[in-house]
Amino acid sequence: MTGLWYVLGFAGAGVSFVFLTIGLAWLISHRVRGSRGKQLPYESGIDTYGDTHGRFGLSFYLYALLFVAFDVEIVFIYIWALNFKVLLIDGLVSMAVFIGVLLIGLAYAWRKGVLSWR
Amino acid sequence: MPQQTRPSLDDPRISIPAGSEWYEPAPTPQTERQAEFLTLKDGEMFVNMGPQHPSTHGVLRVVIKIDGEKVVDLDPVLGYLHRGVEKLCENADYHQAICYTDPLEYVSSLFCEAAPVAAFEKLMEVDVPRRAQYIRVLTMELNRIASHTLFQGWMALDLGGLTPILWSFIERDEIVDMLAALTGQKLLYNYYRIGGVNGDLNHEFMSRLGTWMSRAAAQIDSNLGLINENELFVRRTRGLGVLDAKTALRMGVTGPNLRSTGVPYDLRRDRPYLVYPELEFDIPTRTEGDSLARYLVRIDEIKQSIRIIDQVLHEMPDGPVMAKLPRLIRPRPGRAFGAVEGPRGVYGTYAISDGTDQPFRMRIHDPSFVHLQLVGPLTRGNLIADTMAVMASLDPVMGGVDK
Amino acid sequence: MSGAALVWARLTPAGRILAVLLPVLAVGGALTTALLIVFGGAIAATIGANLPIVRFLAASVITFLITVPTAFLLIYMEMKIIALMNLRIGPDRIGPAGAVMSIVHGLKVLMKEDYTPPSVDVPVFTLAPVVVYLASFMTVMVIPFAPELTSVGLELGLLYFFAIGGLGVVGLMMAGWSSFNKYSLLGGIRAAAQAISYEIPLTLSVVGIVILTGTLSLPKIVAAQSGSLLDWFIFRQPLAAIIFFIAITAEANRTPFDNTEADQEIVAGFATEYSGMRFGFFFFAEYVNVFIVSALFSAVFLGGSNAPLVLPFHPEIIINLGSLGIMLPILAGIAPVIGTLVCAAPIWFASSRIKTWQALVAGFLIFGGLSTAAIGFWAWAMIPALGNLIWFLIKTFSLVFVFVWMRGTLPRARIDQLMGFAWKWLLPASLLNIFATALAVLLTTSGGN
Repeated sequence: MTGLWYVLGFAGAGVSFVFLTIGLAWLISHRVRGSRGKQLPYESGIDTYGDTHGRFGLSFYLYALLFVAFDVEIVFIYIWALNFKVLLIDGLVSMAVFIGVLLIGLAYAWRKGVLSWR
Repeated sequence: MPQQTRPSLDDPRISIPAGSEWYEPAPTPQTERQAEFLTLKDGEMFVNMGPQHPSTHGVLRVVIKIDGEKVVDLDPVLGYLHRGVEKLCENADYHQAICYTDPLEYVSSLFCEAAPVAAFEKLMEVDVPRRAQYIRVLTMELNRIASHTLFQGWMALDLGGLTPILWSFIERDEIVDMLAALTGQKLLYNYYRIGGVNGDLNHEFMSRLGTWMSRAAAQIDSNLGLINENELFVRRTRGLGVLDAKTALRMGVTGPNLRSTGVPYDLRRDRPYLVYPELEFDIPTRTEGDSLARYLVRIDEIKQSIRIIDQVLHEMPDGPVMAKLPRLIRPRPGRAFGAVEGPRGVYGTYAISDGTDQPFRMRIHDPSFVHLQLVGPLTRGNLIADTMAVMASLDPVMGGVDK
Repeated sequence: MSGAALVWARLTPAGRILAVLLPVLAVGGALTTALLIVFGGAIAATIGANLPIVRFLAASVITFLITVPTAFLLIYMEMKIIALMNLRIGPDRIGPAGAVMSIVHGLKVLMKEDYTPPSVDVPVFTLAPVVVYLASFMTVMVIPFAPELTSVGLELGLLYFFAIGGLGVVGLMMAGWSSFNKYSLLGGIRAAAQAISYEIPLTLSVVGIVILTGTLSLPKIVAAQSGSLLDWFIFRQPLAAIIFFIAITAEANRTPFDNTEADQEIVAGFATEYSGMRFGFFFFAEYVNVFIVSALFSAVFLGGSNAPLVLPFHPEIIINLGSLGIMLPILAGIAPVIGTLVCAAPIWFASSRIKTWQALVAGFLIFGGLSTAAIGFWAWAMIPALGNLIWFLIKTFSLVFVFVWMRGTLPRARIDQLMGFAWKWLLPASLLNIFATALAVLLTTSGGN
């Protein structure tokens, strides 16, 4: 339980450090509202044209889907690895089956061209 | 008229009302091609690269239409550095015109002088003394090396490498200092005159050149190790932006970009000028036509230039460096075209004289302008990062593009 | 107008704040000192009674003290080493060889305008650097600097490290999305894609070590590598070490995997719209991250705080200062003078051209160096934690140097090459490593039975 309190305490300490520093910077720095040029988003000196928060390319999301699959796998693999010296041959075989199924999925994605950027 | 596009200035978060003096309406398409370009499909967006961007050479603006990371369409927008050089030259006399053309391609300005000087000499029908011809070849080849070493570092910088550009600046700096000792200027030399050159070779130039030549080849080779043997660099440029010979010839591509597609076209060999026919050198070509080939052709050209300089230094005759000409240049009415092979391609000048002391018309052909139109076709379908690699390998200089 | 009012009117806002703060601090400091002298015993007793709170406070203070100067040191290292690789001079104005340059940079960033463009999503925009900084700050707490110097020896340290370290990308996403800028958006999404792709090989590559050690606690993993050089996991798990190194390079967004802030393509990536201190925290977190991933690599693969060679002799130098009695203050006063004179004498006698004061200065410096070395040797011999810490820092900073070296040498990988490499090569290789390790453990265990 002390570990949890340490984590929370560190988070609090870090957040307060950041906000104190930003606050200090806010106190001692100058601020100017500026002209329209300063207020526009920077796009190499040209007014931005078209929607910024529109729909975005698909290829990123395919990687995200693959990531979810393998991240869940990692959760199991860590527990398995911690207890491997107890499980031995049973553990190896069952994990090989588990990973094998996932690898078939990866091979399918590979063959479908998900892994090469589109 | 496209309707999906919405200028973000209408966005309430930026809140510029339509009546405000800051309000700018969305651009209306002028042509069919522009209308097609301005139409966004689902998931696509426009991104401006330039004119204030870390990687575009000079003030080029490239509007990229992207779908995720992929470049769907691309439109270079020119004119941020336009000075109206051709018109300025028409209102200056022949000597002044040379110094207007000087800053066109500021990294290799001797070639920008050499082209109008060649045209004016044809108009005046004057013979340049042989020593002056040798000096022109010598200085032009030096400037070619300076330009190519800068390209080499710049290409690596556009691919994300920090060090090569500073290493290649060592060579460029030495050459530039040497030329400054000869001409008095570091960037815009203004050294060539109609009928010769401005001043003979001096002692400081020769001693610097001798020292540099003794180590140049080895030094440039060792600098190359950082780039040529780098797997990441080779992987990013091989097979990227492949240009075939037919397209290149049709688009009017010249110089290393053309030679990288396998066409051994070089003005120094094909339409000889100055003393080039008497010198021995090879014309490096490659057949791949990709970014790596364009890079390697330039590297081979550096080696050939060193070879030429070596021969020139051995064969240079004595004599005057300036032909006898009247102080006021007033050619007979006529027209002439002068061209030289520069580090980027053919620099040409077409001049018409009407008998006064000012050119009646002057047109400048600049290779960078021709090469820039390739950026679109070569990049379409690649990734954003490839735009920079292709653009760097084509090596445009905006001063020449915008004139 | 009185003099005080004139002075006040001429002060800058920063100067006014300092003019108020400094007297308050001085008075407060004096009061605190007086209170400590009067109630010192009682306070010490209270602290002794509440050990966990004291431990926590000490741990967090030390972590701050580690992160801030480390970031400054790393920024200076990067500036100077890359400058030397570029055949430049690099920073050389402030401090010896420009060593104070990065601190001045920090102060400059603190005093710059922190502009919030009107088009951004203000709460998310402000919270993004906080999340990024927290992700790197909170991982420092599990790093085993030495067996005695781990602030929290969490049982799940390794997993905690990956979990919290992976949070940083959420901050980058927040920054990219809230900035309302296309470069930022591209940078944020690139960061997310890259981080999630390399998270998999990163976490899978250490599974082999988890199988071998049977624990996720970083101090225990370090302890498992004690002994000779060959016990280090870089020699027992070389494939894992290679995968891990590549993956942490990508996780820390370092060259050649710095696509998220590729300035030739997307200007400054997710940080394009940031300025002032909020930008400063991104910058800060990035360098702390480099230190952290190097520290993790040296803890997991390079034996952490274990010395590569265990010396056969154990010097025990026991100095009992109390036995000197009244001679102690006299010696402390006389020894430097005599030492300086003794060290200066040979220099003074060596050449008549050396002036007396030059010989004295040289003698003082030599004596200072010698005595520091002697004290250092004594501390290294007598305090094992110090030796361990020094070994740990040597390994970590060698790795930091490798990162800086790569930045000076390599160009950037393209995003498709980057992602393809993670999924097509690193992922199968790390799975292969797991099964090879498991098989080896299986064979040795059954052979033993």
